[in-house]
Amino acid sequence: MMDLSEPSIERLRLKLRYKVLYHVGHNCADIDDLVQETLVRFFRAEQRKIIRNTDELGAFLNGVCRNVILEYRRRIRREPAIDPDNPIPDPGIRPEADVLEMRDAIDNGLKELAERDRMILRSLYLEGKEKEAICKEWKMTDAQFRVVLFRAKERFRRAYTTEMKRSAVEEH
Amino acid sequence: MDEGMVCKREPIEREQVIAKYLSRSLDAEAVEEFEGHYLGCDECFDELQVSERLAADLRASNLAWNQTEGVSVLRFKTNAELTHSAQELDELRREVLEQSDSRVIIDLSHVTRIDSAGLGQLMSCYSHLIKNRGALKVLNPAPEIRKLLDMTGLSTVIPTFQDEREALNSFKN
Repeated sequence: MMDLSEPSIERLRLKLRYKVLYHVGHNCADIDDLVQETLVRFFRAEQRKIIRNTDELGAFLNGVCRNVILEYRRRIRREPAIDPDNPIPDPGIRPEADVLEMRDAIDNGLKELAERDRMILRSLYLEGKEKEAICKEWKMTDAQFRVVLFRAKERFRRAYTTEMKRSAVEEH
Repeated sequence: MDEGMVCKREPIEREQVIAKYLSRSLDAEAVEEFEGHYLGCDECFDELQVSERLAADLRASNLAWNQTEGVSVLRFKTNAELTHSAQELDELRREVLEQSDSRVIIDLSHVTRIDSAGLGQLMSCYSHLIKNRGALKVLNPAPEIRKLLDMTGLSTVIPTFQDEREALNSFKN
């Protein structure tokens, strides 16, 4: 049985938003509509009990979301381009206060990372290198790599959790 | 690597899948599989969000930003190359083209090399800021960089300064 409580739905919405953003980019003006459409189709399917494998709800939801994005792409290809006299404002650019806040948070996080650790993590997250190649390059064992990685993640997890709590308090 | 059921695997393997997803180096099938998984798995989604934050932090690591008198000043903290494959080029794009600042100074004092991609990026930044009714100024290029800016005619379009005060004052005119 699916959990249809408000927090669960909000959690699903957050995850779907993440996926949609990944595929259509921050400049898309219809992100929230795509997420909403996915949720509507998903709950309709759930009510009609047409989801065969309820152990794989994530995969089913992913399929629904993929179709919604595909249909959206087809639709915008068919429809005429944006009227140049009335351009749609770009929602991808965050308000100035948010930008400043984000930059401060990034600077604060940075202070806590050693230069060597930062370079190792850059290899993994930004350059897409394999663990084995990184360990070879930095002459590290698997265990040492693990320590660097999870120490940094723990630090960011704390920062992230604190920020989420702060945002939640500000919203209420 | 099998990306399926990532949370059942070693944490370090899961992290590799997440890192590849974030750097967009997973193939389409693996992306589908991972997304299908995290949509149903809170633990993996939390890990993904934390890693994304970490990656964002790392991305911004070599480019410092500060605002003086309403002008954004961007400078590289350590030696940087503005070349085709350099991470710094991407950072610069993100900091100028994806932000709402319109009056920008780029301090090139730590830039040791620039190629056509770097020059093109400076030009894109300039066009973007002009379109937003702003301006771009360049500060402190090394002699060899200055020579390239002159040779390509970029210095006739993008004002170049050796002194930050002078560059900041130029926005008042």
